[in-house]
Amino acid sequence: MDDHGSTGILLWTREAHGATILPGGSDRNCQMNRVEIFKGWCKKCGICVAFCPRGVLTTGDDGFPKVSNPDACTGCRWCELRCPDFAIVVQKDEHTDNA
Amino acid sequence: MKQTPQLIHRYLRSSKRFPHVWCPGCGIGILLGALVRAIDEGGYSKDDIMLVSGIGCSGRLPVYLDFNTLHTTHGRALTFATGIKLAKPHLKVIVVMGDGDASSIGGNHLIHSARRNIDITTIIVNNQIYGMTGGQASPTTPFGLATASSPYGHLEHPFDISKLVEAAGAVFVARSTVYHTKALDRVIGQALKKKGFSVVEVMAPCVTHFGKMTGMGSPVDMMRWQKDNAVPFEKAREMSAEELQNKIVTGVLVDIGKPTFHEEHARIWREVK
Ligand SMILES: Cc1ncc(C[n+]2csc(CCOP(=O)(O)OP(=O)(O)O)c2C)c(N)n1
Ligand code: SF4
Ligand code: SF4
Ligand code: SF4
Ligand SMILES: [Mg+2]
Repeated sequence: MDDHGSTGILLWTREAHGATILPGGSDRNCQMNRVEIFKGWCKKCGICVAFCPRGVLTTGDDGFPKVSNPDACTGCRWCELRCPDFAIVVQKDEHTDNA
Repeated sequence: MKQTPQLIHRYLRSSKRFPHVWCPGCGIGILLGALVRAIDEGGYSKDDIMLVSGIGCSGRLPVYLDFNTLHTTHGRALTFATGIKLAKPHLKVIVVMGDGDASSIGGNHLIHSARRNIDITTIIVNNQIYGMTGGQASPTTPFGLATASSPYGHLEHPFDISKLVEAAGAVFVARSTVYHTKALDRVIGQALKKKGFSVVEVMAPCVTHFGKMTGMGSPVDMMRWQKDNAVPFEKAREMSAEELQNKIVTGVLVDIGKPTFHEEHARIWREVK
């Protein structure tokens, strides 16, 4: 089994790949779902943007998805489930009534 | 529900380069996530999973996963998997094949594995084309489609893979699309639990070749096509052949019980000893 002859970058991290983090980031106090995009793995296919049922995501000038309407996110996770590259993750706020 | 990227990190091989090799928007990546979620949900230990594939873009899937894996030759994944299952019956053997892999060069292995009812879960990635080699027609390519090997339109009629394996004797057969991801997770989970030859046919867009040849265009357009054209089996029963033209019939088509090859083999061993 070949491995493209390289060492992998297995763990993407926000720091390494310039994730888009919603206002407030991890230490925010307000309760809401948080959507993060890991540009290092994203291939700009547009699937997450097109099929988010709430129009939370748009395509930025750089072609990457952008969280433009964070308040509308219900934490449904469809973007995460359909991303072919595991490049988008939803931190669901369990207390939100936005479901 | 666990977060997919977190889960994925638990099961991906750290020596591989990411992002993975598949084209932007290719359905195989979505299937990879669905398979990992279904395996995790089923509570199998990593050491008990045996993932076997043939050759093709789909055949690359096991390369990324930290299970027992075997990347075999084109069309022959089921033959290797059969040997493994008989030698190590405790393993959960899962085979991943493309439509060409499974129904063209490997077509005979497919029908006879189903007939034999060997306890293997087979996932067939049906993108209706030979993806890896540049978009030649496969046994599931639609009639009339111009492809790399049929520039004036494909002269042959496609197999219905799910019906084929049903007729051959598979005890569990389901079809899903990658757009209907939650249903896909569910049917893979059901197939894994099933004793005997279980098949999940996964409709997964090959954006680069099938997309170009059909003029469907972008990954989003191809996913939208799946969304608009999937019909559940229950509803399809009431539709005419014309109405079902170009539709994807989805859901669980077969779920029956039958002694597996391994059970019968073990019985003979006991009786003859
Ligand atoms: C014995 C043999 N014949 C032919 C090939 C060339 N070949 C590689 S992949 C492939 C078909 C791929 O199509 P499919 O199985 O549908 O997988 P996909 O790439 O679409 O996922 C072929 C014909 C080969 N590798 N080995
Ligand atoms: S979790 Fe649902 S609502 Fe939130 S961004 Fe993703 S798809 Fe949209
Ligand atoms: S679905 Fe994934 S790879 Fe495609 S644009 Fe969205 S984050 Fe990027
Ligand atoms: S050629 Fe087709 S099947 Fe292969 S990775 Fe690209 S989109 Fe996927
Ligand atoms: Mg194919």
